[in-house]
Amino acid sequence: MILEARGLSFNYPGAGRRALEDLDFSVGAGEVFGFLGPNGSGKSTTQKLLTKILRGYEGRVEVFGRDVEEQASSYFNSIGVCFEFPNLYEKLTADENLGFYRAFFDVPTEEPSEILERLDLPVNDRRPVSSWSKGMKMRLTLARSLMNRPRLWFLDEPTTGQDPQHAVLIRALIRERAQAGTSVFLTTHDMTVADELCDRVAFLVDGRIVRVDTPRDLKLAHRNHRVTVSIAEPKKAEYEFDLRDPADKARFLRTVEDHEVETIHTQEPSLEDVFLTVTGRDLGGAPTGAE
Amino acid sequence: MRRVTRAMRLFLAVQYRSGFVQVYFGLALFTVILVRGFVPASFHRLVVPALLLGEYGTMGVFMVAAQSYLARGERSTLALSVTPLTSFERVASLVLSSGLVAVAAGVFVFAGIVGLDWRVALLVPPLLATTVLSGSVGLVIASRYSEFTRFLMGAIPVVTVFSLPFLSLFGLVPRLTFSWLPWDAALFSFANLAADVPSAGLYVVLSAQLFLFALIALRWAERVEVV
Repeated sequence: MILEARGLSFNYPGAGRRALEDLDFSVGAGEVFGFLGPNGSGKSTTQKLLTKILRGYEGRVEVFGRDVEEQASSYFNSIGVCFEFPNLYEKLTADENLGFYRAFFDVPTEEPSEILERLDLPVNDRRPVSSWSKGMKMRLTLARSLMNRPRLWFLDEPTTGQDPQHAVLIRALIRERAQAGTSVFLTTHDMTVADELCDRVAFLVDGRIVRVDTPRDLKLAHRNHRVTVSIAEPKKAEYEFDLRDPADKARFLRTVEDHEVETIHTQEPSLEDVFLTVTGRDLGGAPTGAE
Repeated sequence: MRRVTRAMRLFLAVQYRSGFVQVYFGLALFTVILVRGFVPASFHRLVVPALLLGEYGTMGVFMVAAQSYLARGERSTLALSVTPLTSFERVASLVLSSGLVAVAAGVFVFAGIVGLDWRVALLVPPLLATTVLSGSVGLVIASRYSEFTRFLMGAIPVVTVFSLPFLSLFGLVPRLTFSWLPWDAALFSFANLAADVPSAGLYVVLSAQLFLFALIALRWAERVEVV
């Protein structure tokens, strides 16, 4: 395992309730692990602890076989961190931001121009970063987090502020890096991104992990067997069938055979639906009244 | 040391783009023109040390704090906190980079008023130590306030304390009254340099004392650094 947390708990000084309570999770080599939850659930706190921005947790958290609190500064040679918001030197150019940043690492680094091109950002742009759009700044923050070719890549809402074209580009980059062996710890409340990218996801609510599984198994576990069929002839109509019921299943087959079918839809739940069912919360953190 | 040097290059670039370097040297040029044009040479042994401590030694309180607030606005310190750069290296390189600009401007003022000779080299250690001390104190004060305007209110009493040795320099109180303040040593060194060469032993002791306090202030700033 690249990352293994056992009984991870954390309390902000002076806070009444624990921000994190007894978390158990692990991330394997080349795995994209999604940490999903509403705002305030403890996602960012967990990432800050794993990246040593916050100190003083309880429990054991090992990265590369060594407890995070015991890691020397060389730990940062092996991890990359992309924050939720751009945090660049706004008066410097993109090349300067990447050039100065890469100089702090003691390992081979990426060529800034290559990574800029990969993320559809201008190379040799003499304008300061302050004149760039938020989406460009976010992509530059993402590019910076890759400069040291990390073995473990922390991503916090990586597609925030991106247009659909660039969101696709970023998702493709994440998949590409994971296939090349980089482990990814993805913090997000965007279930579409998580569903598409993650090998496994953890649902986090109020500082506790309520479920860890693959997106596919989560959806299968909460699937219903209903199918909706729309037909055009003899007149437009829509029928719903429960495939677990043999009589309903036979009616479904007859309908498909006897009519001109316009659409057939299974009603498998989205990851967001599963999240709502499992946690009883929507992604804004409000109770839903479910389970 | 390699990482500190690289971080200093980064901070110097940021200072240049933010206009800090231009402010330091603009002020230095203005000061030289003013003193050479309007202050009689017999007063230089008083005016030059006061300028060095007041404008360059202690201005670090404001300059380093201003950079800290700039970095907070950009959240750029957070980005540096996930590199192999340690918190001490981060704070030291920020304070030293600002100190280097202040020292260069101070040397420019000294050379422009007193003259460019080998004494200028003796100016560097006490001035650098004072800028590191004041810059670190600026960071400590900045860590207590979220807004720069509130920081200014907190910094004014501290800068007033930094200015106390001027009273003894100008003969308003006995010379040794404020010798317990570490930066009084810098003022004493500057005064001697402006007039003549200080004794080597005293110069080394005073500079070493200043560096010791600068290091303590730096450690303090590291402990309270706002990421």
